[in-house]
Amino acid sequence: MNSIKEGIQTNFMRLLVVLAFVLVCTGIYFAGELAYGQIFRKSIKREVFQERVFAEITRMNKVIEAVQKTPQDLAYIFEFHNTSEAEMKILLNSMLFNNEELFGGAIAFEPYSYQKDSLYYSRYVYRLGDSVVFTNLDDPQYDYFNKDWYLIPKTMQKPAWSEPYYDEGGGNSLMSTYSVPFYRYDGNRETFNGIVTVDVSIEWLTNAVESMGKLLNANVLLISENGTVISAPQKEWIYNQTIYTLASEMKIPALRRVGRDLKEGNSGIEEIEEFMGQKEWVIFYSPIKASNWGLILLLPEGELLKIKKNI
Amino acid sequence: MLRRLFIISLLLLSFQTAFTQGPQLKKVSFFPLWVPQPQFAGYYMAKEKGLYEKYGLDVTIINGGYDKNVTEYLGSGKADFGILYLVPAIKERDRGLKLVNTGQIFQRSEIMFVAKKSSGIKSLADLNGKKISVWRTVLNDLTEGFLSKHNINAEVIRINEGVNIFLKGGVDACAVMYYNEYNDLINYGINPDELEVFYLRDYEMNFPEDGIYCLEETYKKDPEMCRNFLKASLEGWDYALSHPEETLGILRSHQASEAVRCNKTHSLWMLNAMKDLISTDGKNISKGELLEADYNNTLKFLLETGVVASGEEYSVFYRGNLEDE
Repeated sequence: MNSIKEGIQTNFMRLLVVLAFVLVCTGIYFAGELAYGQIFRKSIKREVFQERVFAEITRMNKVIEAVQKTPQDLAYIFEFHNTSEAEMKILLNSMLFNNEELFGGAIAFEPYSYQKDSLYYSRYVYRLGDSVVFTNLDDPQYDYFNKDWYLIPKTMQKPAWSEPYYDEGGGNSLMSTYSVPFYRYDGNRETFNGIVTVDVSIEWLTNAVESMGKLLNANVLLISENGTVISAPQKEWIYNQTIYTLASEMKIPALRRVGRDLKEGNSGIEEIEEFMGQKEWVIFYSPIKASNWGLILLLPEGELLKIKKNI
Repeated sequence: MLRRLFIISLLLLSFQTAFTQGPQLKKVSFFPLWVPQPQFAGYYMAKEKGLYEKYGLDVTIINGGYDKNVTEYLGSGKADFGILYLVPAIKERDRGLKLVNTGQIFQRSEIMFVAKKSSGIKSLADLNGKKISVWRTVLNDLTEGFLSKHNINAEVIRINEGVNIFLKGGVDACAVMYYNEYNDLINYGINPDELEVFYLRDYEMNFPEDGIYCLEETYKKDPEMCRNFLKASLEGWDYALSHPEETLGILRSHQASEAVRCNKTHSLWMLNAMKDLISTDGKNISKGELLEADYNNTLKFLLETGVVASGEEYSVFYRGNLEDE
């Protein structure tokens, strides 16, 4: 009788052990599924968001390429055609009338090149309120030969975007300038003859980037080739900060990595613990190849998970 | 009766005004070489904290820039005092502008050449045949003198300011100031270990930099005013270096009004670097003094490179001794 009782007890114990084992395994399985599911969902959401970022980058690249095309065409004209002052005025004015994204544009010649007795010879057109001002940059105090927008493309012998700057004595505005060098061929050799430029105002860029931020529900930073903040929701960062000084001031080393990776022409995703007093953020970044600028989008992980695939 | 009371009140009021006004402050204009930045923190803080007034001076600070020249301002009388490096000051004196040094604030050289290690530049000799940017300002005797002294045959590109041409690859190396453009490079994403650096001071060119200068005529007319300007400026420096947050805040407002780029990371770096520059450790002189050996070494370099034809005696050039009182 006792042995029957013991047998029942033993079998019951075995059943309990098996049941407990099955329960633990099921728990582990579901916990794993849950975690995997979350990771999977996160990854899908990030992919969806990154696709949207890439779409915006493509759009912005096209805008920048269109901006660059105008001075490239003008430089070609100046290389092969002796342009009169009247023609210069028509060309520069029409450049602004046909491109609302442009703030200004200039043609600037080498010393004594356009006029034999003029050290400086330049013509500049820029927006002032609703009107367009036609002027020159020939003031020796302004000394355009030594401005980055003139000297750098001249030295490098190729077009270049300037870092954002305040053009005191020129457009008197915060801007970035795209410069295209042009040359003169005298039958034997080509010599540098001057620079054609277009200016894009930082205000215009900021508006474009703000629209993108609203569309994607993210903080969007536009940075120059050297990392200077061209546009940001925090207006005081513009021109004053670089992505690297922000990394230092906000103690977010990931921002320095992002800046350096962008300079290499790479896109990527970074996670940061805290930004602007809020936990767990994701950074998406991608270069705008046309200008060597970088676009950085920051948003909290929680916001990212709310994104619907088909929006 | 009422009339009498009125006259007495008027007399009392005029007595009070006379007593509260105190001695008249001497109006002084000062040109600190460049745009507002921590390199000149001591002077801005001396003004802000009333230290110039304490020494009987009403100082107006003229903000500089690459289109403004200190020697032109001093020579034309538009500024009573200005900041100059020792090298251009000796040169100007040699050319006829009778400048005197009334206080040597920075005791060493911070100029250096930098190149990216990836460019393959590892030694001075590697700079041969390269493109190098230098400032077109009064410092080119130092930078181009350095290249010439070391027989470096390079294409020199003279620029107004900044490191953009270097960062964009327009030049292989550039002249920078350790407390300024060098840190700009770091703040533009270059890591220190990616740079090859050549300090001028490591090549027997440790020439002191920022000093206070005025015309000899100004000094002779009022040596006490010159000494007071130095004393107040040195006290301003003490204050600035011991109150960095407040100092950077004051400077920020000046920088904003001049559209000067400004961020805390860089400003704090520059202000911290000033401590070492002002220090006279190892020289056995007081703060603000120009060591005779430093003056003679600098003059020797300028004579050897042909920048100056002859040199002034140290005792004629340097009038900053506070013990002359």
